[in-house]
Amino acid sequence: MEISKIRLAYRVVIDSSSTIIWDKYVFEDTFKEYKMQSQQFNSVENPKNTFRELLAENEKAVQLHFLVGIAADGYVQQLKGNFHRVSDVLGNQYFPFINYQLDIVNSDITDHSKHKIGITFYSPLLTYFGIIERNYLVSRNTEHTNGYETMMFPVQSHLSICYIQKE
Amino acid sequence: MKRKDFLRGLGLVGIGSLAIPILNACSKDDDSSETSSDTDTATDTGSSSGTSGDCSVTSSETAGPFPTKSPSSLVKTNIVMDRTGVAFTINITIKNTKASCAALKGAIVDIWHCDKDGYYSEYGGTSMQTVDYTAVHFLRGRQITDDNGLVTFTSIFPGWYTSRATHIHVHIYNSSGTSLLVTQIAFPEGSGSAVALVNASTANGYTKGLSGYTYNASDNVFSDSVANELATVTGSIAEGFVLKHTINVAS
Repeated sequence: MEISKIRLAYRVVIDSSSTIIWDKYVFEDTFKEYKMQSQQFNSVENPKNTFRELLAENEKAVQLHFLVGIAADGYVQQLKGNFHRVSDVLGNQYFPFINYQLDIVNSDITDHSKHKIGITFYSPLLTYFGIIERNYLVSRNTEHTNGYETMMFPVQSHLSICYIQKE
Repeated sequence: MKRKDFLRGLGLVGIGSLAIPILNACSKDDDSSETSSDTDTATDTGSSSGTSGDCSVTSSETAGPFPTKSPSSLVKTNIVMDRTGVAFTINITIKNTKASCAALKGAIVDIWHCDKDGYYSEYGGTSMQTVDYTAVHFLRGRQITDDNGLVTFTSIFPGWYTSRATHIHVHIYNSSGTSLLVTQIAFPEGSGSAVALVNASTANGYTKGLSGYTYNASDNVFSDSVANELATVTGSIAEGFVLKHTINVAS
């Protein structure tokens, strides 16, 4: 069996139709932060309502992905490194993450219903054994050893291998 | 509720209160499938059989990591995080030109500045870097002005980078979040100044010195306006430095 190491990434998209309370808090606070922080990139004479328009006008507005992301940080910390919405096939282990990155899909300072963001969670380096029965077979143990405790995460939308290294 | 299904499969539903603590020992204590699958729970309860007539204590379940409203992690007085350098206290007073320059209470003040090496906290590289993105919010903070219009931050003395004099960025909003002013704070310079002393302090990790430094007079931000953007900075390397500055806004 060829063994390599990977990172998995899972991206959750949050918009005004999100019903889970964690998503709602993140939605509200990132929208509020967007309205505040976007002002420093917008012009007084020719203000742009949407993020995409603003970005086209002022490329420095790309910083808003990061700046708005700070508003979600407290909520991400509450997850304590496990994204519970993605569980292994046993249902008692959850997607482990060590990093995350927020991206603004779009937003509109005049219409909160157009606010939409993504948060991508990045796993620690995992040992990868391949896909078995439509499940990523991985181990948190990245040392060379004869035996590995493994987890199986179902292949699903928004779950991707984002990094791979040989050995 | 996969765990309940699992217990039912083992015929353990009736003694769930006994079995669950044992099972908990090998599962994460912050099981939260509850949070995202409330409808599952309702279905489970409806289809559950054999326990409804029993006079036994209802099974315990973990509370799950129910999220709590969290203030932005920007809101803090100590913005150092993992950075090192000479101790630095930043006192900024906000005054309102529309009220005869009286102190402006309740204004939101964001500040950000670079670390001793001239780097800002930002995302860098691509998503697969080993950089821990969740911990790179250093040297950025938000406070709300008190009755005296004052906000105070605990930080480290900023370094500098090519083409800019030492500076702190400030964004002031009114209490409802409307931007009032985006500005920068300039530092006194010259021999004996905090900028000169700190940048000579290799013991504290300021290794660049002032070779190639851009002074206020040549700085394209401060050159035309340094008079009212220049802070007062006092202190010493040993004791740390204290910055005082007043910013006037029209609110």
